[in-house]
Amino acid sequence: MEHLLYIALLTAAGTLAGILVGAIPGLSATMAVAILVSLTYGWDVTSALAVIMGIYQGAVFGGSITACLINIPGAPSSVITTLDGYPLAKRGEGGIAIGWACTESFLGGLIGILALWIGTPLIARIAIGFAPQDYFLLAVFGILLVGSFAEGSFGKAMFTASLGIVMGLIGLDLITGMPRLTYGSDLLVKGVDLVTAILGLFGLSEVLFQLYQNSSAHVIQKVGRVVPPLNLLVKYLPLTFRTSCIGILIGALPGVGGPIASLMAYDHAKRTVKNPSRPFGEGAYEGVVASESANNAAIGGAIIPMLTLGIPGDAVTAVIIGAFQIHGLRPGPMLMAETPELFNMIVLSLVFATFFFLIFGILLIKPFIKLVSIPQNILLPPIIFITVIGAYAINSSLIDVAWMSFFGILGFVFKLYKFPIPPMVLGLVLGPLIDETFRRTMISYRGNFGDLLGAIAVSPISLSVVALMGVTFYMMFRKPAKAKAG
Amino acid sequence: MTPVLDLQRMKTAGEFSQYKLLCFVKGFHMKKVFRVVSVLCSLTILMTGGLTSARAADYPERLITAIVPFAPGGSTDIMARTIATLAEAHLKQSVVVKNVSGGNGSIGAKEALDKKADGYTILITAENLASYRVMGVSPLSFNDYDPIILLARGVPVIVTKPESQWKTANDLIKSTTQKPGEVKIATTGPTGVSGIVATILGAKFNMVPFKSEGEIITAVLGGHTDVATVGLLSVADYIKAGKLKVLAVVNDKKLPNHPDWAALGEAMPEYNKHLPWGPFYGVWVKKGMPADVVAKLKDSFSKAADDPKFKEFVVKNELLSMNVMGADALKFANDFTSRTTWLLFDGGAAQKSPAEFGIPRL
Amino acid sequence: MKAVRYKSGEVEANILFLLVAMFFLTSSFFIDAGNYPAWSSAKIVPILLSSVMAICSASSLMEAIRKRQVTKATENVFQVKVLTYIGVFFVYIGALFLLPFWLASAAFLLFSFLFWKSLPLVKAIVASAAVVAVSLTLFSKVFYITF
Repeated sequence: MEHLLYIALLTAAGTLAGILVGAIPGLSATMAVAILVSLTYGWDVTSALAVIMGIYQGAVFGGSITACLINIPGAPSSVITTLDGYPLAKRGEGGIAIGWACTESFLGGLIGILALWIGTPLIARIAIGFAPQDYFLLAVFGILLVGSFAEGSFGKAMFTASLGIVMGLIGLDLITGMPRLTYGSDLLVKGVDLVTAILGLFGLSEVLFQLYQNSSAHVIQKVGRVVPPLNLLVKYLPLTFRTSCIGILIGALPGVGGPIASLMAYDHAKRTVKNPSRPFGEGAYEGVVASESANNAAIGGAIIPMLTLGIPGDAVTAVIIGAFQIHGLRPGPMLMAETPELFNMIVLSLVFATFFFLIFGILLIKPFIKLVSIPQNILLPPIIFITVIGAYAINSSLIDVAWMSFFGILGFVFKLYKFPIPPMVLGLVLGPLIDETFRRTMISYRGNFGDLLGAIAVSPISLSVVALMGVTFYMMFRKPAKAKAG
Repeated sequence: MTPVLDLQRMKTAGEFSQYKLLCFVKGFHMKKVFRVVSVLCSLTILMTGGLTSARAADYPERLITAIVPFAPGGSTDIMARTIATLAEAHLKQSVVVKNVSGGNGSIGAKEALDKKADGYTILITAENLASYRVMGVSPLSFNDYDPIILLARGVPVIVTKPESQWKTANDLIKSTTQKPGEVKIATTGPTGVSGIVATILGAKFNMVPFKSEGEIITAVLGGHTDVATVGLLSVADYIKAGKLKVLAVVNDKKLPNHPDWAALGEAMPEYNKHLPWGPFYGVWVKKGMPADVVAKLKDSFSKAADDPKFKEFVVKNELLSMNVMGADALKFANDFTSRTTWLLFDGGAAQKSPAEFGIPRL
Repeated sequence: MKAVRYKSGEVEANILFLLVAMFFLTSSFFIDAGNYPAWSSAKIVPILLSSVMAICSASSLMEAIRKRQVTKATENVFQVKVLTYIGVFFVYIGALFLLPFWLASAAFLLFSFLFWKSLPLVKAIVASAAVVAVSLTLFSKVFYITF
């Protein structure tokens, strides 16, 4: 009992740290966990895991705070949350947006843990079944969804998305091991860092745009009730459940992770919710619900391949595997059989962390709201500084700051001419995925399209992804026709 | 705490709050902030001043940054964090691991060269430095650094599913000569361990590239590829659990801990000229460090490598201990560079010939 | 909120984007594909996607040209205020390479506070020093980031 309390306290500390790390753009859960791995070297493994799981859960939620309030996603998995979270803040409902993000992250997190607890063998089997072509189909599906974001036109969204994809390919090519699109420069070999892009495209560009619009109009944030009413929570429960399932599955696929999970969940919400509280993109609660439940559910998903196969589902789980190995444990098929108590410990820490971030999140909403209630002209200079120091912090490199500035100007120009920005960030995520998976598939089938189609036709996984794409396509093109008729 | 409470009451009073808030931010809050800042500043001055004045003469007088040119969680990162923590005790200073990933490790390697040769930046990296030049990634090589110590090396193994038709490496090679290009082997790109081992085997494989060893294992388990060559650590448990079987260990001799697995060099001696080949991990510094600094680092890291904790780590992670220093370390790295670059060039993956850089063929 | 109509610069910006797309498209063709066949070479995805980029920016350009013909309302995109601030920001980024991080940042923050007329001089000095000191202390002491 005493030990449990100790674990709970450690998890609480980790969760709080995670929320803050997640909320500060440029600091990532990956970085925090990596530092902790060194710090907890001498600890016993369960204590170290408690802190790490706390950070992991806390950070994924924390990223949504800045995404809602100042339109800078604190972590890549919160990019989608900006779509409806920030419009809510602009209406003065920033607190309510975070309240939704918090409760939905909580519910999504719990559903993810439940899947981890009972569904591990099944989900691990599905993840192994994903062949190279299935990953490719999934990536193509992702791009189609990106195109459908369009606040303005499909063309503009596709432009920013494909710019993101091509820029995401700059650097070393995995398959040939040679530099690509680097124009002989050492600086480009490393490629474009996703977080610098987020800081510039969302953060710096927002500050510049506010300066441009000269918006002295100060939004007064409502601070009354921030916890979503129970009846609405119940009403959205089916949606939460569906988007969490999407999160779990996408999270369980190695190398896909939170950003894509929330993208798919958001798109699912957009297609299935008939009468959203407001149109999507203008502050629909359902948008926040989908994105936030999915990215926290993805945690449970990402831990499944980590524990059963020793394969990281995302960047954070990669570091956690390192932590295991430093403590002399090897995640893989033997871990669950040899040390079942460790699995229970992980599940328990995750459950603790989920409850703690719900509590901390709700307690922290008001201070955060106060912070953004500072008048714009005082708030904006520190924000611009945060983007600079955040970009620097990724690698302690000024080159990243220069990249961030470049993305800032680009984002500003995009905003001026109504080019949507989230597709560009998702393009940067999807670019390497689509390139690798396509070429891997083609190499695997030695360029023989007949074999490839044959393989797709007999695989239930491939067929389901294709069916999903078909349905999405159908709905995408049916909608405008219907609108015309109406 | 009082101003926060106060503020909350103001907030409910509607528009009045904004005025008050302005007062709050511009007014007395500044005094508090100022107080905090002054405390913080004096604290920083105290800490940094105290440190420098205390020990100015002997070498590690502030924390040492160990650059790991790979992402956190990878094998090099784990190795670095383990050895760094153990070396701290002997250096009597913190050794902070800094991950500077990208460009297959070339970005971090470059950063270690860009810093002053004062011993406060060291590089803990793997075998990848050998291939940068011939792959056109970067002009860097092991020649740009002085070795402190080579810690350990990993052994690749050739694995397949237990129900596979092949029983030995010989069977596998035979299949590839009968049906060239049909057998799918999962690799981590041409310069990765598995890519080079596939080149060592010299057989006509269909090399399917994946991002990490983890993805390779799923590919074999899921039946998406036929065989894979991976570091032993990643697959040890799968072999134990009977989900994968070993065709051969890519080494000249059998492994002491696994005497029942065939060694490639013993089963097929024609491969011996390329062996031993596998990833190795070492601590390096920029050339031109003061001699006493290098001596201190060598002393501390060799003591750390002798620590029973490190030995246990090496065994648990299925590595082979090296503890090679000085001229031996340089020779090992140079031989390794020759083998690797010529393999890459002969296999057609490298853009440039190793001869351009004066790398001899072994 | 009333929709803001932009005119000046839109066509030019779209031309710029089209040029960027063309630039990526041309350089995609020069990617060293190694000895991989066409269907799995390093060129294929960059070529396909930069073509998509080019097509999309061309369509966006057409739209912009059409819009320029029908709308009369203009809004000056090239505000002196914004351009000045961007200019100073780039001076700051350049200064980061030459000056200590804290000095350049504090100076820039001070400038920003004054530029936005947020705070009077003395308080602006205190505020910039505070922001820089607090964040640098946090980042270096907690996250071991060296500046």
